[in-house]
Amino acid sequence: MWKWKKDKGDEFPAQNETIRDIMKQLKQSKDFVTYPIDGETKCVLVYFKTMVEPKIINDRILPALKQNALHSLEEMKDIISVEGLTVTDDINDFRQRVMQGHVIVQMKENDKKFLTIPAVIAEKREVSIPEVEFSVVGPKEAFVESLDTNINLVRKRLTLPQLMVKELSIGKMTKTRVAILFVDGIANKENVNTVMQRLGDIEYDQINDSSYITQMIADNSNSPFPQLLDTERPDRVTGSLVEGKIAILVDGSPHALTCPTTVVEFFSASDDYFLPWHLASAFRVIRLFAVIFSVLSTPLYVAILTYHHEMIPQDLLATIVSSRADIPFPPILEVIVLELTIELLREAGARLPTKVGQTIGIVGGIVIGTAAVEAGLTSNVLLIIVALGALASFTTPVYQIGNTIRLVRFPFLIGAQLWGLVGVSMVMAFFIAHLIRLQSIGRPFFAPIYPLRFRDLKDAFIRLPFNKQSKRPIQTRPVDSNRFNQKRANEKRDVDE
Amino acid sequence: MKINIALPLLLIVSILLTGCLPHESVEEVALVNLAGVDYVDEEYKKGTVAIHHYGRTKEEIPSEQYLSYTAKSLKEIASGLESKSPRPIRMGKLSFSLYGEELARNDLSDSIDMLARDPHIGRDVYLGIVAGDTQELMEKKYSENETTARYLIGLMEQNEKNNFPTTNLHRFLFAYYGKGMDGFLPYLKSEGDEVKIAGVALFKEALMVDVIPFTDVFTFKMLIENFNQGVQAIEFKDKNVVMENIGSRVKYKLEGNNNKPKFIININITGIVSEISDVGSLEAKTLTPEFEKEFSKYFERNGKKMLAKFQEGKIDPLGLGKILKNRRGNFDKKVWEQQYPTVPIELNIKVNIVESGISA
Repeated sequence: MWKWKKDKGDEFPAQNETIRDIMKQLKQSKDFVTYPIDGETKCVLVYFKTMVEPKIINDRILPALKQNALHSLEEMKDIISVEGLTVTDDINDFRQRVMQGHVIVQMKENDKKFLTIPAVIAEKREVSIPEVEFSVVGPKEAFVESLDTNINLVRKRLTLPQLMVKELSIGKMTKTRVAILFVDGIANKENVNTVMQRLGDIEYDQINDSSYITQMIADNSNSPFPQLLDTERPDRVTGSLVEGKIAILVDGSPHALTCPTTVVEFFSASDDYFLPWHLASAFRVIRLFAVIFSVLSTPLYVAILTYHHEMIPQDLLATIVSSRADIPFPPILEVIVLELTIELLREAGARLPTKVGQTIGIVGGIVIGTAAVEAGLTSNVLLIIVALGALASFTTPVYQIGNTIRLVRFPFLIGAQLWGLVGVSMVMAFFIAHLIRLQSIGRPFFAPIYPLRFRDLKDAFIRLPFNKQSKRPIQTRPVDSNRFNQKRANEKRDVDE
Repeated sequence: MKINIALPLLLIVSILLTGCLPHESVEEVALVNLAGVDYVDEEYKKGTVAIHHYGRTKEEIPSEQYLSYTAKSLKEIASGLESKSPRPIRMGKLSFSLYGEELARNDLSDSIDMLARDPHIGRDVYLGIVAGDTQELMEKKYSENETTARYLIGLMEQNEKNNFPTTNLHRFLFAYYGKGMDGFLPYLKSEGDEVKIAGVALFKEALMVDVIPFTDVFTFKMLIENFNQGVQAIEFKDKNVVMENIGSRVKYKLEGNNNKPKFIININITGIVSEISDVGSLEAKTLTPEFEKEFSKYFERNGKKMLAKFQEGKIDPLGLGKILKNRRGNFDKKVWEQQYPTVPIELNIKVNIVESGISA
């Protein structure tokens, strides 16, 4: 479906005419091995020694070739006990397979016909606990860099014949394997086609991580808001698949993408489903409040202190005025200095090794903050506001949206300085308009709020108990919207029945 | 194509123009909490403002500075005050505005107009009429722990919960601009080292015409609004009986038409007799019906006297005209003003004493 779109002339490296040319090229690499066998069976093994598992060559291939007298590739294919052997004369296959870590067997060097034996080194990281989306309760598995392991993590949670895995390779040079997972009969066909088409249309040389895909297939790639939700938790992916969403897994990336998503989903944590619904709802509301606070607290400080003095309560006036009395800067500069300090700490903390990073975070926060107040560069009222704002921005369960919130604060600050509260409202109006226009795989991004999907509100700002979640979200337009039979779910049966 | 040029242009212009707007941070301005206007003579007025100087630590009580200036109009006073202040004066935090009695008896409309027009000034500002000189009242120090402004606000807030009717700029403006209504404001008096609410100053348009003494304020509040607190004492057989109000409900009824209106004011008061000197608790219980009768008699007599006074003075702080206007339509202010002194007003008061003896 997508192959025809690719112009053959664009292939890299350029087409080589014969196996001899390819061999010549490959032989320039030090780790390329041509190993002729000169016993009863006469043949040549060709492989990259850094890509193949020596065990397979030593235990399976060499004994089979040396103990038997074989005169054709077909005979070898029958004798060698490794799965996935093929005999072919396709030059493209030759190049691709040898690069992927297959052992190629030829009757004599530069022969047209050859046998390929998969002997890829299974070098991968163990499945470990999630670090970005850690949760105290619930499963502790996180995705790793191997696509097959990741698909396995999802499949073992969702043992359904309807769970479809489509695969394509993207990236002219990296040829990265990208898998699309969805549940047939639930996921909307249109969504699946959109994702497949957008992935197929990607024209780029390398895909190093799933975040490349997020940016490339986003409906609006200029938006600061991520339009695909990324997660490292297989249980979250399973949850999304069951809701009729589509998951995208990229080989080499420990983060899966799910779509279509909504802005509210970025503030829902997997904890929300492990805790009783009222507690979970309360925490989710706190998280949403924290985000609003984080974005608006410093702009409001600037706007009120610069333009709207009458809004400061009488009892707070003394506190603010006396703490500001020694500060040589207007509120906006004071805020920018402190916000930048926090951003610096954050960047430094993210770049430094874990152990050092933590120290920098704590020491930097306390020392720099206190010193700035004592030096009279910022007021302690603002220090509290900025610190709380930074803290609140860390409450987002999805890392990507945390970055957005970090950035979004600055336009608000500029608006607040230029036009006061009017400016804050203007920037707010701009962002809300932007969010309303935004789409995730063609589905509204601001969904349960606008367009108002009353039914989807059951799992948006609050999470209602599971027996109220009998319908899948309208936002994904699932083929089958019933999760379970609510009537049966609400029946209370006695033990004797 | 046109919009492609117009939009960025608009944005650039609006951003550049913000440079023309002078703005100061809070600590760079003098915020006025308390302002007072006095009558000097026919032409001149004297304006006084209290501005706060905050210390380096928030624990310090801000020192108050009083600036006053005499000029013909409030605008001139404002600019005159600037000439005495180290920082630009901002009226945004104004919370209490005082007027001298003499000014109020002459004309308050200019001052009220100024407050009504300033968008920075809130609508929950207290207004007050001062017996005597406002500057004198403002400059006295009443409390060690509070500024005078805070002290006066506390005085009003505390009293509004009890016997004193709710007043503020919003309510006064509503009555002032509304048809068939007259406003009223607290009447403050400075006595030695203290300041007290001496009563209610009644207005005819922007002219102060009368004062209800503080002893009658309970009756006045009862006629105006529903409330759940407040205390009233009466003489009962040479003894002092105090009733604590726990729920007073007032209902206005209108009978007749525009030409011949008749007002019926029904008031239900539920109260507790909390303090009776020299009466045993058992005795007090049997006396309860008598207390009820005595209290309703007192309120009726007092209320009727008050209403008669209003009608005589052609002032309408209860807003009877507004009730007629709202309920009957076709309101003619001139006709109403002629009718008002003779319009029949019936006052029915029912006192229900539910408990006696124990003071809460």
